[in-house]
Amino acid sequence: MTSAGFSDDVIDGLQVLICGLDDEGHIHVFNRPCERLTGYMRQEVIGKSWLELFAIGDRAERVVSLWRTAHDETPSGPLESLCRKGRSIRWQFSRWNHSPPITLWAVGIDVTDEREALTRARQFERIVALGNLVSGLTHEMRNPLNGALLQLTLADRTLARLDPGTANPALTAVLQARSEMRRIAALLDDFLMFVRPQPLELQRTDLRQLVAHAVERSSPKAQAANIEVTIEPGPSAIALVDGSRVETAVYHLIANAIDAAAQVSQSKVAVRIVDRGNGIGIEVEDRGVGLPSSDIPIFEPFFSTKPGGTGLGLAIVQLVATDHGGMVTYERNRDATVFRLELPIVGGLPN
Amino acid sequence: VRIVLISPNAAERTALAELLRAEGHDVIATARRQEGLLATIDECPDVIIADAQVADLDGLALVEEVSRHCARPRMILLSSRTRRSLRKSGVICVPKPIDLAVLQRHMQPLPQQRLA
Repeated sequence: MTSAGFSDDVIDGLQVLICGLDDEGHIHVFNRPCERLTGYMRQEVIGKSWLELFAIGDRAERVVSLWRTAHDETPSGPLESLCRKGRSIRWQFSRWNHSPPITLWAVGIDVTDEREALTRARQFERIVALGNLVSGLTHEMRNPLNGALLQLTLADRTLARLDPGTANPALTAVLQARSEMRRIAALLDDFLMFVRPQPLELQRTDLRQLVAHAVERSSPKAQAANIEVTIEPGPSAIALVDGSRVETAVYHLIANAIDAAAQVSQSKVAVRIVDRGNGIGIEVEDRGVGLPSSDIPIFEPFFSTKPGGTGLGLAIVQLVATDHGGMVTYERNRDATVFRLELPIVGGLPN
Repeated sequence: VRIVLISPNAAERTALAELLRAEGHDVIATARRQEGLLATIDECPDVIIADAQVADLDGLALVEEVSRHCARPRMILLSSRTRRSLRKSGVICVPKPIDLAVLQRHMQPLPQQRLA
């Protein structure tokens, strides 16, 4: 084997890309890793300009500019280019005046995975930063919102005391303003669950009591829509759940059922706890309009079929369900729609 | 129930004080922590309701300070953030916006206090 042949074998055997270039930047050496990564065969590229192969895509202009610096002066610093297959290559250049016509060696490594990981890390950082910003803003908004709501409650009670039993327009205005502010507060709560999910705090919880609290929470909405929400009798059920979150999920199911029932002047929504064998189901049934189609993405955040809906209610129900290792399902039987929050039994059994 | 209410937020403080008085409670409302502390030492209230913005980080320091002078009052912290970590410390955290029914429930005497 000649020394030149030995050198070629060594160059081909390296795990880095090596191009030998002349003064004009034309390729004289193109090793096997170059072939593998770019998809070009050596015969295709010998004599071609290095820039023609590697100054492509959205980085072309920058590569040309850096190349000129590297080629005209003493090369310094890395240069990143793309290749035909879309891989990213980081190049280093070394001057070489001992084997003409080659005067410059370009040595490259594949940094595609590293760049992608970096891009993902930056995206994640941006999402976290945005989440922190939104979370901070949401918390800060609760302070003035709280003050305003308390003042409206005081105004409402004072007006009701001063002028009992009559339709007072000022009182109506106060009640409407308070109702709107409560909507803002609820929206902030929902939004916060998405931008800053908290770890579950599992505790043995009486689900019947939890459901009663959710029904109580939905009572202003039910009264406004003239709908009766009833809890069907049954045995008590104890489960290891994050009570606060599950209550919020049940509240959203009831609120949705009230909205659906109100659209067709139905007056009842039923809530029941059912034993599902390896889990517990909390069912909310209404005889309202039902879903327009079974294909619509009702559990996707910000998707809503209701005018003025935020599209967060069912997404939250699903988030709570999956966080507990459960799921949420729905079915339409004749004129009844049943949404079921299924929770696995973990550390607790129905009594 | 004798209550010392400490909140730097005027809208929150004035409205909440009036609403609690209307429910029959004795309320001393102050904007600053030091005034609240002095009022607490004078009155030995059953409950301190403090906005999280005044009660240091978690209200525990305020309770400890008060406890040196009179019987340990119940501490209710009004907070815009969920503070699950406080549960074990005995400080009750009521999230904002405040649900008055929830606040009232937390002010009820504990079962053993009723028996006493």
